[in-house]
Amino acid sequence: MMEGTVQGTTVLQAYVGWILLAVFGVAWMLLGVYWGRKAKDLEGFMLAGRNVGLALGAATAMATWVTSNTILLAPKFALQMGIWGMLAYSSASFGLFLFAPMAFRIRRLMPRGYTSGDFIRLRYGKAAWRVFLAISFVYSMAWLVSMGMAGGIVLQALAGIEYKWGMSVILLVCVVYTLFGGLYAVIGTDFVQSLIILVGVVTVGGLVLQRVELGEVYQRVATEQPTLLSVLMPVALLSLFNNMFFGFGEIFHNNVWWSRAFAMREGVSHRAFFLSGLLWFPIPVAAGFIALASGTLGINIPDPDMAGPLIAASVLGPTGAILVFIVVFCSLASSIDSLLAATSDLLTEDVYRKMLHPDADEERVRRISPRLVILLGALTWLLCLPRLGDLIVVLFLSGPLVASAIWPVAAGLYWKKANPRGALWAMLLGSGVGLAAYFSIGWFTASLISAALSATVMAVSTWLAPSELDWASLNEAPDAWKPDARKVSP
Amino acid sequence: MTLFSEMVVKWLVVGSLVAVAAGALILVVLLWKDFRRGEIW
Repeated sequence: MMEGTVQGTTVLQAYVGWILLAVFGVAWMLLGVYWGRKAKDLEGFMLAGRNVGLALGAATAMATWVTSNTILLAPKFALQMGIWGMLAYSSASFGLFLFAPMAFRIRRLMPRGYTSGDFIRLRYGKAAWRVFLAISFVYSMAWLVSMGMAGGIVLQALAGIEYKWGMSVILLVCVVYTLFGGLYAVIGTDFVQSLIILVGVVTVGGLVLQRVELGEVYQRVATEQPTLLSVLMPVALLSLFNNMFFGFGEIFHNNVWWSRAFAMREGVSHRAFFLSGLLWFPIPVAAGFIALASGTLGINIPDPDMAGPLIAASVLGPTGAILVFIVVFCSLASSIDSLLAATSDLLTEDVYRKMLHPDADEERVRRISPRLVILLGALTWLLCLPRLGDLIVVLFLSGPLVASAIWPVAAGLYWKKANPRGALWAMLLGSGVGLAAYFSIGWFTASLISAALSATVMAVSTWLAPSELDWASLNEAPDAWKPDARKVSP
Repeated sequence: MTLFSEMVVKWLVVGSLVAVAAGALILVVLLWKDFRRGEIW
């Protein structure tokens, strides 16, 4: 029998959780394999044939950006930082808005590009490329691990499924359909998952609103924890800007977003990213506000990471628990699959092909790509297994690293004179000092400091030694990157 | 301490829920339009 009330941390019986996992897991794998039949060559596997339309493009960008962290940390932010906490989380959507014109430019400057690594290599040279790949890999692993861990933790909290089993099943499902279907499978399943997420968030929020009076919630919070409603809450305001810059860094640099810019049909990418930002912006508030009702409802929240699921389950019983379970599973899958695909693309194209095996033909690279998906999935599983650290620690530790890449990427796309050596040092110094700030001051300053220092290094180096770029050089001919290409070409 | 008014908080919460619901509808309509033009992918 399903349990409708919170008992300890379990709100569903394990068999219900296993049934849900099995139903959705099998559905994603079947859909992924079905759509993946279109992925016949490397371009199909990595970039879905470069012909993705507006609906799928917007949905995949939105769904990828709705992670389990969005569903779990938005209520936590509301619980700890109130209104500004939720809005701070919403500000992460600004990265999608800003990436919209960038995606248009990326598609135009690099119609034959494959990865964000291609851009950095062509724009700033090999030293910056290697640093960029290291940042990208660390961040992608941190994101993957934080989601794998979240999956295990939520499944255990909601249904009592042992952490290692829940985490393992979620990773396995995502690895299987990404393996067989590449980006076709990822984008196709993302559309279905995005609809489930949106409908699930509205349903849970709407049902909670039916059971509690917002005015009563407001009065109670205003009396007992007025700082949560404060117009000026310094920590929350700092976290707003920190989140915004973290979001810029995450989106500007990561191949998850670049691969989508390359995959969308010409003229679609900027509209798709702008729309995905509009779709994403209200989600943290819609998913997070229920945490403010915990006092009114008399719900004790022992673990802030679990505030959303606990409240939904307490107020809505089994329905709420099942809905949250499904929404979290979809948000996990839609992000894990994207990261597996985009990060394995980086490993395939940049590391395997362009760094280690320049003589490998396309057939061989196509065979290697799925193996790297498996390798990445296995590495994520190993790192998730010990269940180390707090969710927010795993997530925000990579913040200063990615924030240091904001200006090198943005300047590289729009500023002809951007200095390549400056870009390299902007990333190195921004990451180093940002990490130092993370440990010595606090997580809410790390991305800000990293981005500010990176911008300064970029600006000063370019002012002292401007370079001159021919934009056409970014449209690299196939195989032009090979070491002997210059000798062969006429 | 200046607080957000009750009205602002209500609009924020209800507006967000309406916007999320509208988002789902927009995606379905766009998919239908792409499908009719043969431009899903």
